[in-house]
Amino acid sequence: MDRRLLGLFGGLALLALVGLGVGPTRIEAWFAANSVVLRQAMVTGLLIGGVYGLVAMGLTLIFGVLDIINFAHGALLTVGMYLTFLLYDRFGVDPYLAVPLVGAALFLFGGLVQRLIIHPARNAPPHNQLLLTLGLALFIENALLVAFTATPRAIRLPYERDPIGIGPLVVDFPLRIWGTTITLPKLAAFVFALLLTGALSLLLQHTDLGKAIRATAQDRVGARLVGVDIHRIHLVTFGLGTACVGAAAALVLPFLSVDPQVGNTFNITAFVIVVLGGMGSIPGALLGGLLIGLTQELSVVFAPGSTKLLGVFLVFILALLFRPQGLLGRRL
Amino acid sequence: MNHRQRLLQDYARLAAVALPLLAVPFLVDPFLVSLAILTLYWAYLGNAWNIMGGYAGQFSFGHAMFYGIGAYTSTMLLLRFQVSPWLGMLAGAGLAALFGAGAGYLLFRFGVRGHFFALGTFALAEMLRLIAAETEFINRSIGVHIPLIRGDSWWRLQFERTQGNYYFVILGLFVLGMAVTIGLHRSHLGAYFQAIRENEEAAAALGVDVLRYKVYAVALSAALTAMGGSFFAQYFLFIDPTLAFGVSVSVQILLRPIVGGVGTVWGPLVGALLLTPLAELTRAFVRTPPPSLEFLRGRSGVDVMIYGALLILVILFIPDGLVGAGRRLWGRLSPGPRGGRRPS
Amino acid sequence: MTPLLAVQGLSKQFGGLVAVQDVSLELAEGEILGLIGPNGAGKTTLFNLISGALAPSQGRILFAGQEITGLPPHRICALGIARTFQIARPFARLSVLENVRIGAFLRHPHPDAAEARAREIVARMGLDPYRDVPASALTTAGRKRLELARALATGPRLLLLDEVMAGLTPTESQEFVALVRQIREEGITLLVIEHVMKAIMSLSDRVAVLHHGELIAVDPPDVVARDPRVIEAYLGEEFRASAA
Ligand SMILES: Nc1ncnc2c1ncn2[C@@H]1O[C@H](COP(=O)(O)OP(=O)(O)OP(=O)(O)O)[C@@H](O)[C@H]1O
Ligand SMILES: [Mg+2]
Repeated sequence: MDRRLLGLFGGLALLALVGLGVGPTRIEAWFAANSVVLRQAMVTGLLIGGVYGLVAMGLTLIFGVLDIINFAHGALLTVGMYLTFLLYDRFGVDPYLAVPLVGAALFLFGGLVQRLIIHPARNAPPHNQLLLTLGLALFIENALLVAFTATPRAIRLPYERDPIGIGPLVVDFPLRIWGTTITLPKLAAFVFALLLTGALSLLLQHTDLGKAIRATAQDRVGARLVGVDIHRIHLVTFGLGTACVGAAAALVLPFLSVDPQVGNTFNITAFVIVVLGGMGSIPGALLGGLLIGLTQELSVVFAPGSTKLLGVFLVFILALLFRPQGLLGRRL
Repeated sequence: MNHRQRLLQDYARLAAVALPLLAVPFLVDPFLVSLAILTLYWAYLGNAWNIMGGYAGQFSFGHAMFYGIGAYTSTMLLLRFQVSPWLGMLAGAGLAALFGAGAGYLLFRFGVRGHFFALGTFALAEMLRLIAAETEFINRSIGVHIPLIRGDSWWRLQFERTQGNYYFVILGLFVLGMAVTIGLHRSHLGAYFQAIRENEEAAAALGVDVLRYKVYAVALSAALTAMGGSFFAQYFLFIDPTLAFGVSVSVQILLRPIVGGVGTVWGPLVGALLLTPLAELTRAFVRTPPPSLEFLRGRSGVDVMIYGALLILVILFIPDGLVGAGRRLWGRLSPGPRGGRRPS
Repeated sequence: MTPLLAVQGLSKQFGGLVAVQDVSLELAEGEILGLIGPNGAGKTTLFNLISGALAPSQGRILFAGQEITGLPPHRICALGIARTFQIARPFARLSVLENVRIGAFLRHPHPDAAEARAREIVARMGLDPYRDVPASALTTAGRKRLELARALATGPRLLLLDEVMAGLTPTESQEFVALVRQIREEGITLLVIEHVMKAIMSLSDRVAVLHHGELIAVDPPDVVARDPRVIEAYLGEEFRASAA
């Protein structure tokens, strides 16, 4: 523990030294020149971070309760996005209306996956489960490639730029505050993701099902002793985790085009968030989501030309080394 | 039987497998030679992974980091300084071992274990990929070509006319890798690796310096893996960040030993013998499907899709790998004392 | 003469919980010291401190006059202190012989020498019939023997045994008592945690009693058996147990 803190402070001191080397005035000047870019990055990062939180929450549930690394999480997100796309494209279903539909569909799909693939391997060594989800991810990704080709598909909300009236207040979109631009789809995704995260936390805290899920996460054997049907809990949890991803899929489609590979980035990001926030912690997933959203956008500002993920991975490795129990520890 | 005799017996077995393989290029057509090259190549890499992931039980999900270091080191040394790929291979091995030892030391020192360790290695490999894609010196994400030369050159490890020479190179590497594993399997080093895999606290209580031996396992595995990367670069004559450090490299590397049998000497080879032709077959199947499935012809993704499905089936139905399944079957068929045969 | 093991003012806290408090203790070469105490008294924690699995919060540990406080477990083992685990930790997928060989490598780097030594110990522990089966296939008694065998194979001067007789039948524990005596005959000093009173009283030269992390007595068995504080510690527990 002491050594960890020492390392942390050492790192900070090093950063400070680098800062001094660059020169405070230059840093100030840089900040002044980039203040708008910075603000925009922070806002965008927080908004997308809310969705990351939702995706990571699904993963952390599965992680915490079934103790498996689900590498198909991102691929399932892609499935949800195509589903939303089809609903919109064929039947004109509004993506926000599709949220519960796609969520429910993926709940069922997740349950099926758990029963057919995960459950039979429950006593196999852990790496087998990882490979099973990996095989599933390969299968899904390429099945989608066969069905939809690699061409990205996007939808555009017809009312994206309409003003919205909230009581006497009329809000114009894209919203401009504090020198930043906020589009309707991103704001809506953020708000809905937050609402869903809250709803799921309430479900976990206050319903019998939620209590059983938490009990299973903490102590599988103990939960079984007090009469929890572990198999059912595993099934439902996997379904719920996948439903999160389904909802998130419908929320991001209005501002993110879908191709068979789109889930990969989400997958990786979600893993980072789960480790950062603390495996099995719901508030941790949300907090981690926001932090990673910020990191991702800010790292582009600070290191222009580099990809968003580099900063994310750096944070990840640091989190593994210095706070392996996560920011908020294990508390499902 | 003493240690020496056992070792000799194992090496004799290896020779019995490898010597007949020398004849392959003279007997079969070029397509099969290239299939054999791929099979040995994956068996070699699987074996390298198995040292760390199977014997020492440190599940790596990012072996591409070592592979990529090897591929880029030999390639850049060749392009910039005309260094023979053979020397480049050694340099890459050394560099990868250093990198692996450093990364491993950090992760182990801070108590990163299990799922977290796997994710950590994954993140490291991805970081290297992203960094490689931004690095001017190695031509960013565009990648580097190794210029073609006329004719064959052992010094430059490039064979235009005699593809079969690549086969001998990879066979040699494979035998080297297997010899290392066999030596390990029979030495106290291998025994310590396995003890650490089974229970770290108990191993430490018996005088095993757990941290040090885990770092050794990573370094050894990294060095061998990097040499495989150098071989690939010379065989394919092109390398880019995804080919070198991509997730699919890491996955491919660990797939064979897991399907074949984790922590067994012959598992990686057995896995490669099954999976590599399987991958090629599905690819061929999509190229020329049977008439009833004509709509699949040439569709990209179908082969990997089938592969993914087969992977799921294999892991569901042979959870402890082919070698383990074979042993169980053997045990059922041959009466005798339970577990009387030592695993070899 | 310097004692083989000297523990001075040793304490260990887990958060607010004091598991071992200011324990001082000496073991002479060749002695068998019994360590008893109610559940949760801190016995295993004391072993963990001596063997280096845990770092003490305060205090020092000297082995043959040399300070070993804070050394990692493998170093302490190399110096000559071996321990068994209360809950056996076999290398499940390795054979019994291979398990013991891990310990033997410490003093016998050559595989043949290690193997010979391991065979010898396996035979002595009566594990010969199970020599080549995976350790996971052993019964509880077999696992306890394996724990002892592995520890012995490291060639210790001091052996720490943590409840090796728990869960054994009376016959099996009698065999164990004989085995432990034999080990002492070879000049190995022993610190033995045991709940089986009869065994510990007949085996030990002296008995140390831990209660709530504190050492409340270190005396010959017959004195300890009559010590009111010891009786109080155990009776107190029995009263609580029967009340619950
Ligand atoms: N690693 C640990 N972290 C936190 N508390 C611990 C730890 N190890 C032991 N304890 C606590 O310290 C106290 C002493 O435990 P210890 O295992 O040493 O008792 P013991 O005398 O060996 O008991 P038993 O006879 O049941 O084996 C107990 O309250 C236990 O819960
Ligand atoms: Mg105890």
